[in-house]
Formats: sequence, structure tokens, C-alpha cells
Amino acid sequence: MNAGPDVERLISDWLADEAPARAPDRILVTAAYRSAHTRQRRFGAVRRSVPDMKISWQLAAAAVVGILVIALGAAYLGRNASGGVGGGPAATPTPSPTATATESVAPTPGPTVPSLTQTFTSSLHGYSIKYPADWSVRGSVRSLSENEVPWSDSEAVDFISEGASGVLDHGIIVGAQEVAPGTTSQAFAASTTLVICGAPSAEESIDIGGETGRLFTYPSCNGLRHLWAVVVHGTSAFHVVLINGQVEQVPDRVLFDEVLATFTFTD
Amino acid sequence: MERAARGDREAFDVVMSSVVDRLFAVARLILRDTDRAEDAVQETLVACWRDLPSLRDADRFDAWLRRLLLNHVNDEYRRHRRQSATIAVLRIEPSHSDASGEVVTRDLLQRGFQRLSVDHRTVIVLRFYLGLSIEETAASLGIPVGTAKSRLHYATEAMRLALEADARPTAREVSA
Repeated sequence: MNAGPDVERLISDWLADEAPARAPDRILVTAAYRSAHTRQRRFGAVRRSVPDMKISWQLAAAAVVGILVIALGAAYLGRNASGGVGGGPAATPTPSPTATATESVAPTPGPTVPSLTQTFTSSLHGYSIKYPADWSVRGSVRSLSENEVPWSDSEAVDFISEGASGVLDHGIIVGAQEVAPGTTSQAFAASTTLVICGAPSAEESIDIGGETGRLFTYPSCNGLRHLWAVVVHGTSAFHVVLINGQVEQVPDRVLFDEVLATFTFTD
Repeated sequence: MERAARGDREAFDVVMSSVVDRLFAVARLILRDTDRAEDAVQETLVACWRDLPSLRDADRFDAWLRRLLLNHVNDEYRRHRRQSATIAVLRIEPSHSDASGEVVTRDLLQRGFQRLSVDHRTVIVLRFYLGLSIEETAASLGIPVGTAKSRLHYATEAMRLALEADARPTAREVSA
């Protein structure tokens, strides 16, 4: 058989023939969508904040000492408590199962749905919606073009997101575009949702502002949970999408239902 | 690149467009599976966007991106190792009865390559498809140069042996 260099040449030629010339377009589409919902890591910001913290060393040390004191105190009290509060030498040495359970199982409050205390009204798209107090809104400056994907960082969508500065992986996107008269929510959804997220895990009818829309659930569309509602009102078709990349935010369906219940067409 | 690192999505789209074909080719060659190669490239591009601000030296972008890709190719391979084995077996097709010597050689190369571990496939692709030096190959994989040399030697030798073994005439061919 061939010597080493010939084998290497054979391998090189074979790999060159085997390599695909082009990547499928959907890779770029999906990667663009995902990156639009992904916040860049800004390591520089962390470094810049370090000098500002110099003056806080003494405070930090005091805080550590304080935490230690509290922890030791709690441990001491806890030991006394486990021995039986108010118990004398005659107390039974084995705590009852009920008492043990009461002491060890602390009720853990589940995630709660924030109340919707703020209202956003879009004169551009003709709707209003309520959202949580500590969320913020970045309004759109134009409508979506035909079949344009409602990226969360697009200037064509209203993005209502958690926090004052707005996170990119937890919020509600609202975008609207003009459609031909008679366009159904189903047909409109197929032009965008299926292209981006594929087949949903659940699909259902939902009332949005008095119109019948469709709600698609995607447990993981490109790494983010999506609750994607579409509705057609006159010749305007709306996307209302809850995106959630923060897995601990469990009650997003409850939140989304509450938000959708406040959705009102204003025109 | 600098604009993309500052969060400019349009600039990043340009960056992605310029690298996606090459990334996909490398992933597809190593994984031998289009769907998984797509997944690996997607993960790579998203990670690239997310971590691009951490890249201090733009001249090192290619090597940095290659490293990201190979990490995700490895993840993808491990995640689907069992299925990959099945697919690999299914995809080995018999040689055509009227196959020319070139077709037979390609068939043998494919069989030999599929028998290699993902680590050995990777060094083969980096060295013989991308044309990286052994030092660049080692840097891309985050391994010592000696280890890269060893892997390359083993992989090339395994391919050579596969070609020799499979090309050896059968008893019937000898007697004919």
C-alpha cells in the first residue's frame, strides 16, 4: 500500500471532496435568533468595578464577621432547641417525629407572579397591555415587515422585560405587521413561529383583546422557553411572545395569561 | 469584529456569514452527521456572540472560534455517541460492483475514518483539511504538541492500515 505521504495526500483529497461547500441557511437564521436573546458577557465591566470596591474592604470584613456571629448564634440556639425548649433532665431523649419534622422542614415560598401595576400603550400598533412594576419597556419605532421575525432586540418590537435595564432572556415581545384581509391567526403563525421554533409541544386557542388567537408552547426553542401567541385584528397581525431563559421562573404561564388578559386593542 | 464585540448585531451577522461555511464543514467532517453538525455550529455561534467581548486579541479570533467549535463538536459527539454508532454502521454502504479504484479508495477511507475516535478524527481534519501545523492543531485542541503529534501519528497510521487491510486481495481475487 501507499507510503505515509501518499496516505496523507489521499486523506487530504478525500476530506476536500467530502466537506460540504455551504452550510444550510437555517443555521444562520437560528443562530441570529438565539444570539438576539442572549446577553453578551461583559468581563470588562466586572474589572472596572473592582477599584471602586477598595474602600469597602473594611465594610466587607465587618459584614463577614457579622455573618459569622449570626451563624454561630443560630447554631447555638438551634442546639438548645433540638434538646427540647423548656425541657428538664426528665425530657425524653428522642424527639418525636412530629417535632423533628416541624423543625427541619421550613416552608419554602414558591415563585410568585408579580402583580401587573404598569400599563404600556402603543400608539404605533394600537394596543395597551399591563406589566409588572419592576419591568421596563423598550418601545418600537416601526412595524414588522412581512414575515419578519420579532427579535427581542429589534426596533420593530415592543420589548417588556424584567428589570430596569431590561434583560434579553426574560420578557414579553409584542410586534405587529400588516396582513391581507381575511388572514387567519393560524396562517399567520405558520409564517413565523414554525420557521423559527418548529412544531410546538402544545397549541391552543386563546382570547386576546376579544379576538381568537393561537398560543403555541415551546419548552425549549433555541434554548429558551417560548409562549408564543399570535392574533389577527383587522388587517394587523400581532405576535405576543413570552421568552424565558431563566428556568427558575416557573409560573410564566400564569404571568402570561394575566398579561394577555389585560391586552386591549385601542384602535 | 470590534463592533460585534460591542454588541452590534449587524456586525455579528457579517462575522457569522463569513465563518459559518467553514465551521459547518469541519463539524460535518468530524461528526459525519449533518443534523449534529448544525447543532454544534449553532451552539458555537451563540457562544461566540456571548463571549466575544472576552476576546482581547482580534488576531486570535480564528483560533479562539475553532476552539469553541471543537468543544461543541465534542459535546455533540458525546451526547449522541450511542446513536452515532448506529448511524455510522448504517451509513457504511457496500462498494459499487463496477467501482473504479478511486471509488474503492474513497469507500475505504470513509470506513477507516468512521472507525476512528472523535479525537483522532479531529486531528485528521485539522491537519489535513484545514492544513494547520501540528502546533496550531495542539493549540486548537488545548493539548500539548506531543499529544497532538501522537494522536496524528496514530490516526494516520490507522487510516493507512485500514486502507491496506481492506485493499488486500481476497483469496478469490488471488486465485482468479
